[in-house]
Amino acid sequence: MYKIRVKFTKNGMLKYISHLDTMRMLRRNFQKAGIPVSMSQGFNPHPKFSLAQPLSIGLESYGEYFDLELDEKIDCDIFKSTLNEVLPTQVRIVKAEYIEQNEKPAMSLIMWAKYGIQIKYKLEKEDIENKIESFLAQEEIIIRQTRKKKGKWQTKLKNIRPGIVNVKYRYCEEGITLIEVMLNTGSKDNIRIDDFINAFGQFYNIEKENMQGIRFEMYRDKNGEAIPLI
Amino acid sequence: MFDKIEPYLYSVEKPGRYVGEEMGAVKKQIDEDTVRFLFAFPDIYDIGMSFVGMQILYGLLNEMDNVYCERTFAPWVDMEKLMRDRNIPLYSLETKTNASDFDILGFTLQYEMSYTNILNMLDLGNIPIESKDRDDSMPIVVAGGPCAFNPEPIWDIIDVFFIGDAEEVLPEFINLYKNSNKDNWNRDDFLIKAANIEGIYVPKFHDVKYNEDGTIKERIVDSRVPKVINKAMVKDLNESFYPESFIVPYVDIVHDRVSMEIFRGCTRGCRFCQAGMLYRPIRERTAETILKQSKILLENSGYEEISLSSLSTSDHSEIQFIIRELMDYCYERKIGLSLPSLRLDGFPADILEKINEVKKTNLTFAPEAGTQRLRDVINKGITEDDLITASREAFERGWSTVKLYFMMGLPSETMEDLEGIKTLSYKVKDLFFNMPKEERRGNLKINTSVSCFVPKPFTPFQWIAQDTIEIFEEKQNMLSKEIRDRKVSLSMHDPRTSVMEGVFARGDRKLSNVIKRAWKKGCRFDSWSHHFKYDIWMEAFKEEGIDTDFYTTRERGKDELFPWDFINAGVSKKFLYDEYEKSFNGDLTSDCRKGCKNCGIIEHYGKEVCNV
Repeated sequence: MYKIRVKFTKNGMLKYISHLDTMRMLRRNFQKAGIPVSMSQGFNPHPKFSLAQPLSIGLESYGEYFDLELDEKIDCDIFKSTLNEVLPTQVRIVKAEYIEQNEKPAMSLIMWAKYGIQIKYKLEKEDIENKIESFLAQEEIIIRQTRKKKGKWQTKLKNIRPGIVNVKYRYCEEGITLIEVMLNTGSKDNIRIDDFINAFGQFYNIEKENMQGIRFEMYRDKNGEAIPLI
Repeated sequence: MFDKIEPYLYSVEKPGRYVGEEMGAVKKQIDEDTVRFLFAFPDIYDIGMSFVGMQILYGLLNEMDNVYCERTFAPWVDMEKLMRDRNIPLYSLETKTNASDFDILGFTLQYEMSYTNILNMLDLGNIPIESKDRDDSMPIVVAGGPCAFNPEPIWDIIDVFFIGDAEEVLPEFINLYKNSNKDNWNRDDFLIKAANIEGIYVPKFHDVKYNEDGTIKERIVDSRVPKVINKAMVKDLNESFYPESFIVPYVDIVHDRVSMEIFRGCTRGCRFCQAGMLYRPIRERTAETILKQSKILLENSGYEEISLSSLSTSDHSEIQFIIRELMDYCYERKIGLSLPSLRLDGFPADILEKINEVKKTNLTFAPEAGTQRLRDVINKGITEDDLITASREAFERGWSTVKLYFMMGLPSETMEDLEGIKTLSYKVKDLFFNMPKEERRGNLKINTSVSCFVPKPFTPFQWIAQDTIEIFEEKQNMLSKEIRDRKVSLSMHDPRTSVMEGVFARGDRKLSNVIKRAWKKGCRFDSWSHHFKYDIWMEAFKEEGIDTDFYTTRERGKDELFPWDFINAGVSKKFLYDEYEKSFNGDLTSDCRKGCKNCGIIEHYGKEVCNV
């Protein structure tokens, strides 16, 4: 049994495909590509496979990950190319490498994620940097989370300020302003980019449909330094 | 156009329904000569994409030169609101083209309760809902499927109906369209030519006169088109088109699997079953074709489940061989094999046990009625012993959940028959607990499901009176009082939906105004219980001066002219009436394979079409 860690991108209209649907789509393509995936035992055998971190509906990504167990060792480049041949073009495997048997699952390694937010307005550098500064200067940024729990809608309040690592202005081109955001992500603390967008949009008075989020990368902690998962 | 709505898609439930780009979706070059066909399913994506007929027609049309078939579905209520708010018309998933820009818009009529969705989709597509208001610039609106066998309730909505197997008639229709003169296009000339293709009904060339009591007096048919519409029929199913790839949705749909149709038609002759009459004669695909196609489809799709579909799967003449071969293939690849529509007699428990090793399947047994007397009335041809044997086999092999399917409101039903539903359910329960404790596996659950019977055209029961809502409710109350057991759960449907379905199933042209009115008042998704607005429907009937009892609770006379009598489904009215009369005494009619019953198919299509 071999463990492989895979990085992939998800773009275009596939941003509207949910986490579970993405898992099913990948699983079908392992089958199509003839990847020797290890199966669990029991009544409903399923591939030993886990996606590192759910991606909100409506977000494109350049840095998604999954871990997969294989019965046979196959060359990483071949793994990549055979899968890319069958995958929809909006999903691309960009990197694959074998990991140690005792390596922690990707899911529990992730500490941070970096996002881009495309704001569909032309904004002056100074203006937006000031806004970011005053946004971050808030002691608390309270968001309202509505979740369905046991069939009932529940609302709870959360302060996301401690989970925002940094926010940077990147550039403004062709009427679109890009900012970059680093957020706590993973099992310890998880800030959803949707919540950030809602809070920032409200603060800045920008409508949600004019802010498009993109996930750039996900990071682990290596001696206090954020490095990409692979 | 699509750009205007795309940024808002995050706000609707399952936006993946509205973006297309699935694996297997077809991209095609479009030029001036391309015939553009929009396949429209009058329900949400999750249901429409589960319909194998769509996969067949999509594949078939897109194989034709200069024809491009795209898809659209009824947007769910949240998406409809978004589309109306943002002024976005109904569009195709493939190229995001407005529905009104297509040459042909084709609906499939799978159930009567989808009619308001058709109106809503036309309206969302900025296409006039009535045929007479569509000018030459508008698409030709066509419809097919089982409900097209009684097209009259939506006669003024649809321009062209396809009666029977669409694989046969649709390509011919499209070729006629392709070859018609574009410079001098005239909708009526085209429709007259189309009406002369076998299997095509163009309602505007027919007129109906009624008696004072509301029954039909006569049909007056334009001399340029045929008086009787013969259903279109695929004569050799084995040679007919079956797709080599399916569109594989990303969104989780209702039946998310390869579906392989192994035969069409049925030889059993159950008297309540419309499909069993409409799709005669029985036509099989050979084992070789089925195995080859199944493997190709599984390989091309990556699906982890395949279902063999037909009206009665165990009746295929080579079924043992097919399942054995297919199972070896699936077992190796951990692909689930599902066999819906298995009959109780000759229940292949040993086969299912092996299938179960890959994926646990649910068992549904359909005795349909609670007593032998009533099962004989409906010609179901199975016995209590069959149920007991099959259940025992299942329990011994480790199943502990069984669904039992019954109907209430079958003709001649008495309280005894209803009690029989309880008796049978409890007998199955006792069977489990009479096994030695160490042999029982799992936790027993019997799901007894009882639906309300809806008499359908082209069945021996097309003459009978349907139960009223009150009687259905009374029977339901009685059953829920009787069946009180932790191990037996009873599920029943809203009888109001079944009665409404009963109205439209045997409806006539007078109903189309009711449908329009109900839709204008906000009815849609009527097959979804929480969207079904019974009171509004009743208002619409009242305002149109229509009494629903005329369609449901009225027993018809032998010689009454039915709204669907101008359609020849192959089975003769005489055969159906004989069957109806036989049902009074519970006289059985054996399986066609045990000797021809002269239903009318052979007379019309010749002996060689029938695979018995």
